[in-house]
Amino acid sequence: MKLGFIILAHNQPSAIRRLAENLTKEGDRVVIHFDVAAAKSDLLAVQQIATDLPHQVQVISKVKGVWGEWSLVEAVLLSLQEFARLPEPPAYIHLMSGADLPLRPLAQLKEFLLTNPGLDFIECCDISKQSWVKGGLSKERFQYYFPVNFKTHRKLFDRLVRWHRKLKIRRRMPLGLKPNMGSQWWTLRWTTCKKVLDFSKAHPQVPRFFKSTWIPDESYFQTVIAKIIPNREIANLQLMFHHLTPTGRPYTFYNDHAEMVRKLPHFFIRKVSPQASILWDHICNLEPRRRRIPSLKLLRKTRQLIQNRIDANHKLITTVPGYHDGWYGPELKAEKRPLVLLFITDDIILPQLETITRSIAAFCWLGKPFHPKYIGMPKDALERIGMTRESAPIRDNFRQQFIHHLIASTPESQTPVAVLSMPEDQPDWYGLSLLEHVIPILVIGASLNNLHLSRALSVIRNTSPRILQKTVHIELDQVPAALINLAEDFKLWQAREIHAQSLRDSLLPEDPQAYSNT
Amino acid sequence: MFPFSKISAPLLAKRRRKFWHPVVREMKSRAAWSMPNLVPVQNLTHLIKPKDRLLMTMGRDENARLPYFLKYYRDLGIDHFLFVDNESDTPMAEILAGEKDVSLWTTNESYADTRFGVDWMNALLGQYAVGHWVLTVDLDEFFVYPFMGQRSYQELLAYLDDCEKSSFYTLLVDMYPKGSIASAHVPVGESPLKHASYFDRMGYYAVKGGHEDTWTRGGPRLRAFNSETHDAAPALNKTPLIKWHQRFAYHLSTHAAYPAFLNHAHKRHHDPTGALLHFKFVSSFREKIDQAIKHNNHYDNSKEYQKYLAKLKTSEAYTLYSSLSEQYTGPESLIKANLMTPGAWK
Repeated sequence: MKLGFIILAHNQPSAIRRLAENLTKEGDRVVIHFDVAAAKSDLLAVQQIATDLPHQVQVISKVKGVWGEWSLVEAVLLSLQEFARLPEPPAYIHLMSGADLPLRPLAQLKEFLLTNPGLDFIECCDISKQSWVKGGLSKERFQYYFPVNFKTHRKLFDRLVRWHRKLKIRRRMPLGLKPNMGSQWWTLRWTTCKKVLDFSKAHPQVPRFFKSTWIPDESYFQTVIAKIIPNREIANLQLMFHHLTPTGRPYTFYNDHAEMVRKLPHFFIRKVSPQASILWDHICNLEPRRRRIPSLKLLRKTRQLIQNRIDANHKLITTVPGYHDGWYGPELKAEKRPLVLLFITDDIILPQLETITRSIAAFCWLGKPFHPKYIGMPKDALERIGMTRESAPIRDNFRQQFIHHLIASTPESQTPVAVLSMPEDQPDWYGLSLLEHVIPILVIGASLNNLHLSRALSVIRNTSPRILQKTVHIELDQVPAALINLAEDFKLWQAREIHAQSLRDSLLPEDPQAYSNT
Repeated sequence: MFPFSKISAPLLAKRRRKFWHPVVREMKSRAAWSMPNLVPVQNLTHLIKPKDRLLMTMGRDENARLPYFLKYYRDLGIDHFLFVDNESDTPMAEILAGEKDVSLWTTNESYADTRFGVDWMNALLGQYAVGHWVLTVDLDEFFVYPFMGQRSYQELLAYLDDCEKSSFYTLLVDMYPKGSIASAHVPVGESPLKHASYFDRMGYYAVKGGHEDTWTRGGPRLRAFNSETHDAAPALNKTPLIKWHQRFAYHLSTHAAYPAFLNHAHKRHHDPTGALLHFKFVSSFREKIDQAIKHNNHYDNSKEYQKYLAKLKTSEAYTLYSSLSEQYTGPESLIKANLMTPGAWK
């Protein structure tokens, strides 16, 4: 079996040479379409590849490729015509760009194609049934006219779309074609390619229609193939792993992805940074690392898995200084460690509470961090958050961040215990109520009378009803027993948290092969 | 396709010519006044090729730092250096003369009168850096970014280009030794990271600034010298890496650039950020303080330096090391401490 490759490129001639030499090792054929607008010296370097390998590599340079326009489809059609001129065209054609790499030896690819015969590996998504795009225009791409490119005329482009929408313009597809969309990159049988070429020639109105649609490279082949090829012969998956991030850029692989790339079951990846030397060296010694030919199911499953993981990176909340104006809400909500708050109405019992708390190793005594005039924390705790007793203005300007630092600076094995002397201490009640595991305890001291208690409760009620709901009332002599109980709970809680964490991790395994090799 | 750009481009260009940010206009005119005072000692700017990566820096009496500085940034992938020598006692030319990738200017203007070097920066960047990615750092600042060992500087710039960004946000991270500041002696040509490898893992505070940006303060300079209030501590937010444009200008050192969107390079949560490792607290710190107070040419009459002096006077073995210090072992340690993030560039 012979394969044919179409490489669309516009720069990096040395990388293309390496790629072409690798793809032609076993007598397969490569057609390189090099962009007309690229540098002349680069074009000469690419043409040199064809002179070095005259019977296997062919270089054409006919179209100026512009993102989102018909020219990219035209370049592919022109390259296909080069294959059509051959007396013996290859059995399959694979479309790729100059930044893509093969991951497995071509012999394995051929074996895979032989074990799964009669299939076209192209993503065809009928957009009347389900949406393919992640955002932006979908069916409008075929209904409106697009005389300008989004990259060069952003405002005009948006305005035109708005006008189309307002005027309710709906173009119909010629020949009753149903719009299908999918990734630009595919692997097709030659018979299918031939049919597409013939179809384009026989129905010139179809290419004419697509010339004025938006991003036809993601829809032309898909739409035509859905029309002329029976559904059961379309595999609806790709042999190349690639991903568009939520911002619409192709995901790029670097040297540090070498391990991940090695484990991918796919035959090609897109797109590899030109400086990623480890990955580029990898194609020179493509050992058959795994004997097994991947199943269609494995390819589909792994792709979904890794795409989900990449997309999750875009939703990350990070706490790099310089983001917020003192607002630390998301971090407090994400804080999983507990904080014990002891409400007292009389400072006389403070030393007593300190001795009790310090006697239990599971707790970290933080003193009275929220006194209006100063930060009444012990010296070691102050040092851990980089403050002094006089740093109250900083605390009051960054109220949520202070709470976060209180918890984050506590040693891993301990649970922070802070005292709030009611009613004069004014912490950020809202920040405290954002915490998932805040444990408020009202300590009823010896000198407490009803008036003090009701005043304390009213302060909490007025500022944070959520904390009031959780508050438990205990006598001073019950505090040691309560804290010991809490410490036991924390041990259990910690074990449970660790278990939950390991469960979460196992949902996204490092090794996709391990997940679904069965 | 109808050539809309043939009609729209001249109209848009006309409109663009008219619109200049008022602050940029002011900075540009200051820079124009400063330009004649910059005397070229070694001008090799004709060697700058179109896509070269540039670096702009300036200094006074910091010649001991130069050899390692050059080595570090050459390894990073800088193609051409622009140096300004401000009245050094021993001219920088003694070290830099003959380097094929260095252009050097000297000036006797006062550092304080030129908005702490901003005028020189804007003048040279506007002249030579338009269309280039240019890194503007001090001689004691070392640029780091996520995945630094595995991904090249070119790859970072390619990613920023791909995202159509024109600037990169960094946090200035003060580094200090474990022992006393005076004990951290950095020999010429050696990495200061070996001798001062600790940083604060938390205690950085961001407030909204008056210049449409966020000001970040914190680290050891807030903790040790300004612990009562955050307002007086030096700013740590920097935008040192910019793809320069004729209409851009620095305003307050590299802390604030105009137009203001340049300072918001980190505002979406999936944007990557970097860091500048700041090696001020090594054994040469004491000389630096004396110098700053003698020349009286730093911000607010070198008030910050008076505070340093007051603290250092208390003890010879003054150290910044404390229980929130963490050792720097690579960019990962900054990512782990949430001082830097790769964002979606994973």
